[in-house]
Amino acid sequence: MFQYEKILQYPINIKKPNPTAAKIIISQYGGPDGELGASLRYLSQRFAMPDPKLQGLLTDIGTEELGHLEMIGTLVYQLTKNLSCEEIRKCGFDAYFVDHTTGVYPSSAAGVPFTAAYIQSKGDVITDLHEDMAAEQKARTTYDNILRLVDDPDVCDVIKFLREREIVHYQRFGEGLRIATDKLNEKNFYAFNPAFDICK
Amino acid sequence: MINTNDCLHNLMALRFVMWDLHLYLDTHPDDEEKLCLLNTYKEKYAAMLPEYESKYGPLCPETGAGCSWLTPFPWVKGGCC
Repeated sequence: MFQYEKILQYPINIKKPNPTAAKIIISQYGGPDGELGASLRYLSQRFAMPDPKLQGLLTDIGTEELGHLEMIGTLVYQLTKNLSCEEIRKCGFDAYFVDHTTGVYPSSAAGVPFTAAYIQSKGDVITDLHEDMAAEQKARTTYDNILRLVDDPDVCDVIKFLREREIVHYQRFGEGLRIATDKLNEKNFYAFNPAFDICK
Repeated sequence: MINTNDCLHNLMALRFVMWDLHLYLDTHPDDEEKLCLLNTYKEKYAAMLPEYESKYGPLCPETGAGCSWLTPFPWVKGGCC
């Protein structure tokens, strides 16, 4: 069951609209390594997890990523408030604007719409946890790249928070992998798939 | 930026530390010390929540509906962001 809490995880107060920044940051909304992909991946993979610790971990991180999705949406919303057509044209925001005005739409910075092809839910405990660790690093790199391109301290403050969370999630997934392998035969982790094979 | 005089930011900070501990306890469920710490924070949170909700409205659908729920949502500046 999902419940909404009417508060952001971290404060966002953008004083200066900036459609150029919005164009880049939207990749963390609907791009290949963004928060929508992350939440959908973890909330889908959790069904295959045989251990409540892993069911809990994937549910909790997946839920937090939905909160991050909201934060990215908030950034794009605040960065595109009160724009003139002149600013939209000048900042290269016109291509997005023609299809979405200043609405929030899940796509990458290059304009590619979100697809489930960005994620995998392989139904294998070891495989899925490795995918999750890689996903967190890809997200961290994307935030690093955003920080190279954006100057506004109001924006960078929020991006740095989100980047830190990716690193913490990576740590948690690593611990999850250890929990999973601790329960497997140390001579052969791949002897069976605890998400599918009936436990011996 | 964070303003520590503001009950919104203080509540956000407390919620965050509680959440981070909750996540840590997913992979370290036997850490009694951290569980105890989380419970201490939960008490603090329960004490802070009424002041926050009187200023910003209900936090979840459980606590309010209708006019009290329908104040600007967190992404709107001047709302609970």
